[in-house]
Amino acid sequence: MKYQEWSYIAVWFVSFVTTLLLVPVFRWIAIKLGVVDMPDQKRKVHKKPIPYLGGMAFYISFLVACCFIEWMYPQFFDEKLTIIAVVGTLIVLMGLLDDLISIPASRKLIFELFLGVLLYYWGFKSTTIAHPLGGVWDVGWLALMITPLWIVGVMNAINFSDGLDGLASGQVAICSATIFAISYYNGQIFSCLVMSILLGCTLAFLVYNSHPASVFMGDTGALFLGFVLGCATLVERKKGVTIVALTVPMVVLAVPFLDTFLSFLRRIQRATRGEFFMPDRDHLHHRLLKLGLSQRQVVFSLYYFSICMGFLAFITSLLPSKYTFLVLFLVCMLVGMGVILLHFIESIIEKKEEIE
Amino acid sequence: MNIDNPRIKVVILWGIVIVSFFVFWVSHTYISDYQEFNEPRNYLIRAEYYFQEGDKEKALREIEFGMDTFRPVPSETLVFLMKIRKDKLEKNIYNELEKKYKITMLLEKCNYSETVQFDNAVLSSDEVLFPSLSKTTKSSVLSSWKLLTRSTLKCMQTENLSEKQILNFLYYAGGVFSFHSTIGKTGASIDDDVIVISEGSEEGSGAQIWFQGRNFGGHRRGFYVLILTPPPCKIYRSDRFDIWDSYTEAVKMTRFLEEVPDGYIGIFAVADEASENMTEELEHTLLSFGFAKRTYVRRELKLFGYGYAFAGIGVKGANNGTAPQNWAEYDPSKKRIPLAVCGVMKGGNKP
Repeated sequence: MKYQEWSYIAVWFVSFVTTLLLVPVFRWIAIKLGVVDMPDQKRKVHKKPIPYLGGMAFYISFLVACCFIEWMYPQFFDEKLTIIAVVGTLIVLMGLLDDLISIPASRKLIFELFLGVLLYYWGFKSTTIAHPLGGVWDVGWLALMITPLWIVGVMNAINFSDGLDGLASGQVAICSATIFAISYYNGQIFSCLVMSILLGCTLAFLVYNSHPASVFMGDTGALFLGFVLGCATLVERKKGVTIVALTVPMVVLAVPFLDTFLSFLRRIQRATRGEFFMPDRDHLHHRLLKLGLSQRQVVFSLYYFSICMGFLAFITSLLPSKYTFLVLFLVCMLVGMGVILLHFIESIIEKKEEIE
Repeated sequence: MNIDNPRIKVVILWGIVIVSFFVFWVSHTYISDYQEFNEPRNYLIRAEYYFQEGDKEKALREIEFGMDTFRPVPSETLVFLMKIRKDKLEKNIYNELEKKYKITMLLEKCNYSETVQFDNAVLSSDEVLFPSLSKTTKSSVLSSWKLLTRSTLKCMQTENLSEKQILNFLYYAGGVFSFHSTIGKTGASIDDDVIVISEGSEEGSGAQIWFQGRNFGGHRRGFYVLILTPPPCKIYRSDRFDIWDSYTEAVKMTRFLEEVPDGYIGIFAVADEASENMTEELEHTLLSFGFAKRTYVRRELKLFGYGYAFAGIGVKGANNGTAPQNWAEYDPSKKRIPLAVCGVMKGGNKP
């Protein structure tokens, strides 16, 4: 086994063990401080109060893993990890504020966009996007818009998917594993290391967060995971081509992105009533629960879908960019068909209930 | 303890985050300083430190390590070496260092100015006596001079340097030469002069392998290889492999080199880039020609790194580290083309 492969295993192990040890600590702190998510009859699915500071463990594990890489594998350490840690700290502070005193979504969005711009200036940007007919487009100054939108998009997609026990952490684990595989195949060390950290954190967290969950990650954790995932896909390689072209993570994150997109459409419908930023109970997982599936069944079916997308993304990464677009088109068609099918089943059940 | 005021909870949790970040930052700074000091490339920092501590021996060892490992040797190294050795320095070592230093500075100046005065006394040094060249080698040298001075041509074209001066220039600018027809310490020899020039990553880079008046290099990206039979040296095979472009090229080059019988001479020159798809197998096969991993690329010992120039003359089956090889680092922040020169000359008085 190569030296760098050992480093991935070591980094994964460190983040796994750190998260495994830290989650009970933050669970205890959350209980002591009364930071618990109370069940309600509206959006929430859980039946008893559950502490939700688990996401703090991700943040500290990430910091520990960064120090570990710098100490043990300085040749692989990149200053970009420090930038992720600095901006990640701001995300965690915002997430905590949101978890505890719930800040307005519009302000949160502005702050997230601001952090995205900050990242752009610190070198996290995608200046090229794949051309449908092959090759790449240099997007120039448009990158200043694409970067914050991408980061905010991924962060919120992960946050929206955090509605069932183990759903968000499991999906992030699947995405990280896929991006790890793609980066490993392309020999991109930085991306592999970041994905090893995410994989370690999320798998350890699943020990506590699988149904029935004893701890939640909160907005803090979901936003932080999404942020790290978004950043890692924006690192560029030597000759200017983005490591994992954005089309590949789009395929990997198809489920959370779909959920975010549908949520955005619903919010636009509600915007006339001034409820654009109001949360609802119509996320994909909520809708699947309404169909009669158990929480575990919903989570596993979404995992299954994510794994399929992961494989598709891996295959896509091996194809020339003109075929990548075809795959992306195919994914959109499949997802669209899935949404129509879901809507169809929902209306059949509704009609059945009306008749009864 | 159950705190009702959410603002107090925020303060406590923000406190935990800020303290964690502070601990991370302090650790990061400490580790970063430690790693910076131990980074192989920072041999000058370590040498300066040991010198300040009064450990001159250790400082010298660091400088020697740095000069052996990183090419081109920055002028600061030579300045520092002169500073610490000035008092006890033997005259001839000092003179040679001074010339080396002057040539290095000359190269630097040539890249940024068109009006550079050549010090003929330095270029036509008697310290390094190159042989009088055969007719074919003379034309090779003049051609290589044109390549060498591509970036410096504007300031050198008015100069009418002799081939000896050029060779001195090449030598002092960091060229690796082997004399009396012997190929380094491989024990093998070659029956004509060979000059290998490699230019690393930069627009218009090329490679030249001069043997018997012919150039086996070119201006297309990749690894140029010339294989010769043992003396009397005849051309066995020659080819180019674009390792930057694809992994398949690396596999092809590995097969090509594996088929070369033991004792045959392999001459290698990189044009532009030849490390992007370098495989462990290819690296291992190259090492079987007597080369050694002598430079650090991101703290890993390697033959050469991304965009580096690499020139070497080896013998299949020779022990590691016995063949003459040269490399030059690619630094995108500098306009200078990485240039590595390597050669085997028939005569000469330099051991």
